Formats: sequence, structure tokens, C-alpha cells
Amino acid sequence: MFSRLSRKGRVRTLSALENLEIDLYLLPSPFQNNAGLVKYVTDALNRLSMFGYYSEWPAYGSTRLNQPEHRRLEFFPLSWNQIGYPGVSHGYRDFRGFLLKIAETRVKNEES
Amino acid sequence: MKNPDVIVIGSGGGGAVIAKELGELGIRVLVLEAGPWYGNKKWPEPNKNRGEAKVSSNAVDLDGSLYRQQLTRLENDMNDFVTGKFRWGSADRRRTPWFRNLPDRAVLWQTAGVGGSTLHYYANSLRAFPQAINNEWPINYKELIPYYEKVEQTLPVEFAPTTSKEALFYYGAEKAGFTLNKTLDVTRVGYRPQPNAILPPNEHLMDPNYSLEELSHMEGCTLSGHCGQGCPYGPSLEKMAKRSTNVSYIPLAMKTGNVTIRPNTFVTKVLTVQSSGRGRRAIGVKCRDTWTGEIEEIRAKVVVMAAGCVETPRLWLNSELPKNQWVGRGLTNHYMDMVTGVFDEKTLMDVLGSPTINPFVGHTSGARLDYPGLGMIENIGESPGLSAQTLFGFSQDGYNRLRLSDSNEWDQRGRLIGSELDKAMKDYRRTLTLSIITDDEVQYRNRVELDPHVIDEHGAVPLIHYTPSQKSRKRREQLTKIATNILRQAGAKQIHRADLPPNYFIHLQSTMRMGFVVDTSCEAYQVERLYIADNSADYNSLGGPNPTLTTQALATRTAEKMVQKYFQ
Ligand SMILES: Cc1cc2nc3c(=O)[nH]c(=O)nc-3n(C[C@H](O)[C@H](O)[C@H](O)COP(=O)(O)OP(=O)(O)OC[C@H]3O[C@@H](n4cnc5c(N)ncnc54)[C@H](O)[C@@H]3O)c2cc1C
Ligand code: SF4
Repeated sequence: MFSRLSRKGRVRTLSALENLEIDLYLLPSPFQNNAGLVKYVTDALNRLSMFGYYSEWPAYGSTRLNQPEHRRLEFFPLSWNQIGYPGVSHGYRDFRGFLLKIAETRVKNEES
Repeated sequence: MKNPDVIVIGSGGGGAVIAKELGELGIRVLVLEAGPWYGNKKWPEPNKNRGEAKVSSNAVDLDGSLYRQQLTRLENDMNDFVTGKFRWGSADRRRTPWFRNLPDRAVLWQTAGVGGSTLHYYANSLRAFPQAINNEWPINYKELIPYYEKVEQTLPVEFAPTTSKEALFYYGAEKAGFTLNKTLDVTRVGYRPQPNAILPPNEHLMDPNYSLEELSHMEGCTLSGHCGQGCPYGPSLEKMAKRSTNVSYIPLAMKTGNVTIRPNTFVTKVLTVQSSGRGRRAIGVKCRDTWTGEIEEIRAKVVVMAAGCVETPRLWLNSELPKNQWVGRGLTNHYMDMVTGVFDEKTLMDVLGSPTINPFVGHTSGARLDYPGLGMIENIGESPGLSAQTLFGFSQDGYNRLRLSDSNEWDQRGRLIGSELDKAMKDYRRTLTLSIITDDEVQYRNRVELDPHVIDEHGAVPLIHYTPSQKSRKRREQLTKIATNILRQAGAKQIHRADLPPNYFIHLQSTMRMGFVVDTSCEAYQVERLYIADNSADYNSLGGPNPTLTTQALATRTAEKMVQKYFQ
């Protein structure tokens, strides 16, 4: 049923669930009368899908549903291309100096 | 190790420190750690099989190149809450994580493994605000200073170098009327670089004659921005740039010749006997091998709990130790929030001389504003998946789209979806995010207790409740406005507020408070020879500063006090 709703309808449904604007008694086990779990799970659905999409996970391609020790990166994550994240890096040459060094605070302490 | 003098439970922020300090004082220590050990040759495939050895006590076992293979710097592989190498769960990633019951929207972020939650921490190494200690804690700030200094030198700590996101933060903070505060002991409002347990960049970092790959095998931070995924950059394990305790204190502990560490071992009970002194006396622990399920009892003269803010009270409660109404109570979490500003290219060219910020460059958090009385604000630049989930996926305010807008303070607030999310992430490279970290008031009602219905292989699981006090809410609101203003002053064109839910746990503290559960030496009032050396012994949330350095200073001090009392 959920998948037949419009996008807005789905968001409204999720929102109603997490705000507990529903009869908790009507939910199946283990959610029945379990407000904390309903809130936890609706929230986690949102978070985990965003984390999944914007991390390297989709790029495990045909191995993405394997056990973690048996996944292999098959390509560069599409989402990282879209947003311009260069991926794993050895470093960046963006050193703009130090505003302050610890030694400077010690000198000040000795003076005062 | 047969018959150790001291058993330390947990090898994270605090446990590793007390083990090394005791080892140096000639005490024989066995550290029992629930999670796996990365970068140790005895466990070449720590997530695949249990390995041939049970313990390691010689620093020659440590291997930097193995560590680099294992710490892939990929955010899902490392930090997925369910299957990541830095999750709260056993070494075997095919198994589900260890369950905690959090009946609300919640993220509780801790790591099992040698190094504990310092494996993924950002290494911000802050002293407490003196005003949050003096006249509050049963000890005063001055007493902590020599221990702070010792830890700062050992890790070691240095102020963060400036990269684009720090430069932009300083620019905004100046324009908002704040000034640079050149100190480690903060008594007034001001901004400064983060004092971080990260080795300064290699002097050749900007020299194109050295490739970045070459530099990543040399000493010093390369500004790679992978702090949250663990940092495998350096010439050897003990010289890795980010000073998680598994690369700093653990190697030093092993070098004393007195410390043995046993991973994959979950302590399920502290064993005690009746005693005339405090009522009971600790005599050892019961533990379980997480690969084989084997159960064992080990005896020692002293037991130290350093299992972190959730597991230490859980272990106390599961061990049926004497009743103390403050065990597990007074939980604080710095009631956090996040605001993200988007900048246009022209503004960035004017301020930084480049069209992007690239928040993923440099220390994950390198700059801060201290605000004694309210807390603090720091910049933060996580990788994209973690950024999307925390900034745009986690909110007490629900969906931005469904929001009935009542203020113009923030252009967007709460969860983003569809085209909004797409746009926000396409702007990622031109964003600056500020994290709001509140001086969180201790409340008796905020707690870790045992779930009366759920038991796992280690006993009743923790059930966690947290709702911020009115004061904490007000402070967070004030800080969020200040952070928003800094972003506007820096030239942000659009500002998003996450409005994080209260149950966001990164800085957990004060569930076994000094003065209530432990005395000023961190020994339990009701159980002699039982000490605590993790964030849970804190009296309060330190006024806002990140907790780990204080835990490490206290652990250093506790080692001294314990030796004076029981080993001289
Ligand atoms: C993303 C992130 C960033 C952070 N950044 C910072 C920062 O920049 N600065 C800062 O100060 N803090 C930071 N923190 C917080 C920091 O990680 C903690 O303050 C610190 O690690 C706490 O130390 P601890 O000893 O209390 O617990 P932990 O470091 O969590 O150590 C507890 C250890 O005990 C083990 N253990 C638990 N139960 C048992 C048991 N029953 N038997 C055996 N072993 C057990 C665990 O596996 C773990 O290794 C950050 C946290 C997160 C999540
Ligand atoms: S930025 Fe962080 S991960 Fe990268 S080298 Fe420096 S300390 Fe290590």
C-alpha cells in the first residue's frame, strides 16, 4: 500500500508514524503499543537510506548485498561524482599555516 | 598473563591510558577488550576469524601496513552502524550489533575495539572550562593541570593547522565580533584552533616534489580528512597522525613490559566478596570470548572499569553490586545541533582565494569558539554519507517540506528529501558546517538502566533515556543563533538547521559521577579495589568541551592514587 502512495503521501505517512499520529494498538508486533520503537525505526529508515546513498555502498555493485567481508568496489560511487567528492585520498595540499602553536600559550603562562 | 595485579575492562579513551600509567609504575596489567584489534599481526583478519593467539603484549606485534589495509577510509566499510568495522558489536561482522534499547529517534555512537571510541574520534583534546570544575566537582581545576599537561605531551596535542574551512570560520567569527583566545585554559569567550591529538603536517606537504602517497607514509598529518574513518597515515603504527589510544597509549603500555591486552573478550560480571571496609571488595571478573562463547573467571588485586558511559553502569548493575541510586544516572550528551551554510563562488574567491571550501579537507574539526556558560561551537567536515545522514536526515523537527514555517532565521530546517536533498548535497563542496555543543546540565532522570525484558549473551541490555533540561535547551538555542550569525557574517547565502533530536550520543558522560558513585580517587564508594577510568566518572559535562582529554588526565591521576593506596 505504502509503495502506491505519491511521494508526498509517503512523506506524510512517515511523518504521521514518527509523530505517533496513529493508533499504536493497530500496529503489528513488535510495533504494537511500542511508541519508542516506532520512532526509532521511522527515523532510522531516513538516516540509513541517506547514508547508504551518499557513501560508497552503491558502488559495491553486484556484491553490495554480500556479507561485508565479501564486498568489492566495482566502480566509483555515482553520488560522489555528482557532488564532487574525490573519494579516498592520501592527503590534500591545503595547508594555510598555524594560527596558534601550543608553545605560545606556555610562554604566556610563564609571564603571568 | 596469570594473576595480573590489575584488570582493566575496556581499552578506549580511558582504559588504554590507565594501563600504560600502571605499567610504567611496575604494576602487571591485563586489559580485556570486547572488540577486535586492528593493526596487530596476531589478528591478520580480525573480522574473519578469531586468529591463533588470545593475547598480545609485545609492541613488535603492531603493524602499520596491516592497519592501513584494514582501515580502508571508506565511510560505509568503517562507520556503518550495523556492519562497519567501527560499530558497537563483535569482531565478526556477520553477527548483528550488540543491542541497546533507545526508545526514541536516536544515534548512539561508540566503537568496540582496541582504542574504543577513539578509533573514530576527531582527536579534539580539550581541557574542561575551569568554571565548570571549580566549586562544582569535588576536586579543583588546578589539581588537574599537571595531568592535562602530561597527557598533552604524551599524545601529543598541538593546535590544528588552518585549511579552508578553518580560515572561513575564523573570518566569520572575527566579523561576528569575537577575538582569538590564545590559551588552553578558557575563562572567556573567544575562538581558537582546536587543540588536537594529531601530529602537525609534514614540512614537505606543500612541496610538489613529494607525492601525496609518499607523504602518507611519512610522519605528520596529510590533511586527508579521514579522521572519522580512522587514520592509517604515518610511517608505522605508533606514528599514525591521529592519536587514537590504540596508536598512542597502547604501544607505550606494551613497551613497559607489564601490560597484556586481550581483544574479543567481553566482561559480563565483576566478582566481589564481602569486606569490612567499604562493604564489598573486587576480586576479579567473569568474561566471555566473543568468538567461541567460552566463559572464564580471572582474578586480580584491583579491577578498573573503563567500558564507557553505557557499559560501565550496565556492568555494575549486571554484577549485582551494592545499590547506589546514582549508578547510571546523570547521563549528559552535550545536547548537540548542527547548522550548515552554503556559500557562493564569488564570496569564497574573495575570502579564501578559491571557489570551494571542500569541507572534507583537513582535520575533521579544526576550529572552535568557546563560550563558557553556554558551551561551544566547532566546525566539522565529515565525508558525504555521514554528512547527509546527520545534517539532513536526523531531526526532531521532522521534514523541512512539511514544516509550517514560523521564522526566517533558517532557510531550511529538519530533514531534506528529493530535490531539496539533491541540491543540498550538490552544494556540499561549498558548505561550512558548525556543530553546537551545549554545556549540558546533569539531570537525575537521564539514565542508563537495565532493560527488564531484553537479555543478550552478556546479560540484561542497557535501556537509555535522555531529555535535556530547560536550561540545556535554552543554551542550545542561544548557541545555535550565535553559530548561525557566524555563518551569515562569513557570507553564507543559505543556512540549514538540522535541529538534531536529543538522543544524539557522541559525547556521553557522567553516569557514574565522582562524589556520588566514586570518590575523588575514582574508587567506588561501596566496593573497594574497584575503580572507574572512563567518561562515566565525570561529575558534569565539563561546561561543553569535548570529554576525552579530561578522562585521560583523570585516568593518569587515578593510576597514581591507586598505586599509592594498594601497591606500596
Ligand atoms: C564521531 C565521534 C567523534 C568524536 N570526537 C571526539 C573528539 O574530537 N574529542 C573528544 O574528546 N571526544 C570525541 N568523541 C568522544 C570520544 O570518542 C569519547 O569521549 C571517548 O572515546 C570515551 O572514552 P571512554 O573510555 O569513556 O569509552 P570508549 O572509548 O568508548 O572505550 C570503552 C571501551 O570499552 C570496551 N568495552 C565496553 N564494554 C566492555 C565489556 N563489558 N568488556 C570488555 N570491554 C568492554 C569497548 O569495546 C571500548 O573499547 C567523539 C565521538 C564520536 C562518536
Ligand atoms: S586529516 Fe585526519 S585522517 Fe587525515 S592524516 Fe590528518 S589526522 Fe589522519
